[in-house]
Amino acid sequence: MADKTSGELIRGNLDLLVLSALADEPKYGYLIQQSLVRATGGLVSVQAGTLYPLLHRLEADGLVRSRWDHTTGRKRKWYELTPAGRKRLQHQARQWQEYAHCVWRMLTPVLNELA
Amino acid sequence: MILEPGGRRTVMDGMSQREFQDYLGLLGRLLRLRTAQRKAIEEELRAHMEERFAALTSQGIRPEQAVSMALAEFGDAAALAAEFTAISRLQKRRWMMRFTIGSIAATILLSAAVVSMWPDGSGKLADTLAQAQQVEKPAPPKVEEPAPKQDANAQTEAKLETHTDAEFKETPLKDVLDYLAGKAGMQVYIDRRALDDVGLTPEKLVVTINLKDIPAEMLLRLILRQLGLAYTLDHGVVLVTTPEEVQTSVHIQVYAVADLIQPAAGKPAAAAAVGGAANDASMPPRAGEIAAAIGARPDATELMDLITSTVDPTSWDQVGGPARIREYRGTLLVIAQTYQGHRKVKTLLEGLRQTIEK
Repeated sequence: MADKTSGELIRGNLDLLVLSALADEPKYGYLIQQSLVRATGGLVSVQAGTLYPLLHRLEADGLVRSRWDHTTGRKRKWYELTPAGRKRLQHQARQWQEYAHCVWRMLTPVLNELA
Repeated sequence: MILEPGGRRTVMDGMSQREFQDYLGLLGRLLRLRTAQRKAIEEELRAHMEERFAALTSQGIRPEQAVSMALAEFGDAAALAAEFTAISRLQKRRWMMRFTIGSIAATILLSAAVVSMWPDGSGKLADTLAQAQQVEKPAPPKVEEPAPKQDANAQTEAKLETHTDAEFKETPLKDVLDYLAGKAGMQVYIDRRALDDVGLTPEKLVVTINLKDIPAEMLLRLILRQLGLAYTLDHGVVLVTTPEEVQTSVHIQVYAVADLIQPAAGKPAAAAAVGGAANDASMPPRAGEIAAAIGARPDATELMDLITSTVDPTSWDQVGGPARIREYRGTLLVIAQTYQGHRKVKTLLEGLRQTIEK
């Protein structure tokens, strides 16, 4: 299941995944990267060169905001969702659910055949 | 490198640090941003590199290798710098756009205030508005749009359907676009500034494509896709630019929707008939449902919800996008959308009207 194709499917929705990585708590870039690897069972490893421009774009879009913090021992830039970002995340999550549901219904006969 | 046996903590040696610094220094020179912004990006990426380096070496990977792995994950410094620069400029442009929209709104409010305070003027304004409403009511339900712009775009859309052959091998983009413009009889303009923002030089872009008898529109789309570009129409001119620019350059159009949200006075029977039509076998039940829903709840909010949930749902400002929709005086929708967004809104409204007329 965890082949190249599903990796690509997921990568096509990186914005959504990065927003979801921030759903529970603020994180800095490296933590976001690690939590995506963990959450997707290693299927998605977002390269740093992709992640940081993406974070900056999300910030420019007003979906996340950032602040520098030294208290963890190292100066790091922490990102968190803005209310608009949370709204977007919920909206896209619902869209995804509908989409997945629809595809699932279409594919059920095929999958049953395989089983 | 110092390996502390207890904590498995790896401290970077001078050489690794220099390599990271070399990369970040190069990146910094390529970032066309203010010093503070540049420093912040360097700082953020350095923190990541060092953390990644520590993780890799703690897995037993040799420091030299860890450095090159950590750097490889950032990719080409020039490409990364171009991306950061483009994002920062995009943000700046948005602020300017907000400012522009804000000042237009302020001007309108100010003029309205001045007119209403003018001794003789207040009556006139009220008259004008009343006239506008009068004209609006009996007029057949039509979408009101700035006519010249719409016509020009519609003409170009028709031209884009012209079929043509395309046989190009590493041909400069400009030559290909000139050919296409000549074939379809339209004007094509390359948005040099937007391309420059993402680090692209139009002269350096080349196209390879070999297709027979395809619509100019498809050819244009395929060519631009090869290059990571997109196009939009503005006053009938094909504007070749970046996808970001296409998605964020919104313009305002006003839609008269009185007929869709307020059944005209004296026609309640018609509304009921439309609702009843849902049972008519000759009509798709879905269309009847929509008409019935609109007949039952005649308010603009309902229609606005319909538009924002069906036309590019992620483009609207409630979800952080650049597009906006507001109602004005209950019967007008003022919509700021992209060129494609407006086309979809128009199609949706036309579809609703056709359904209701039936």
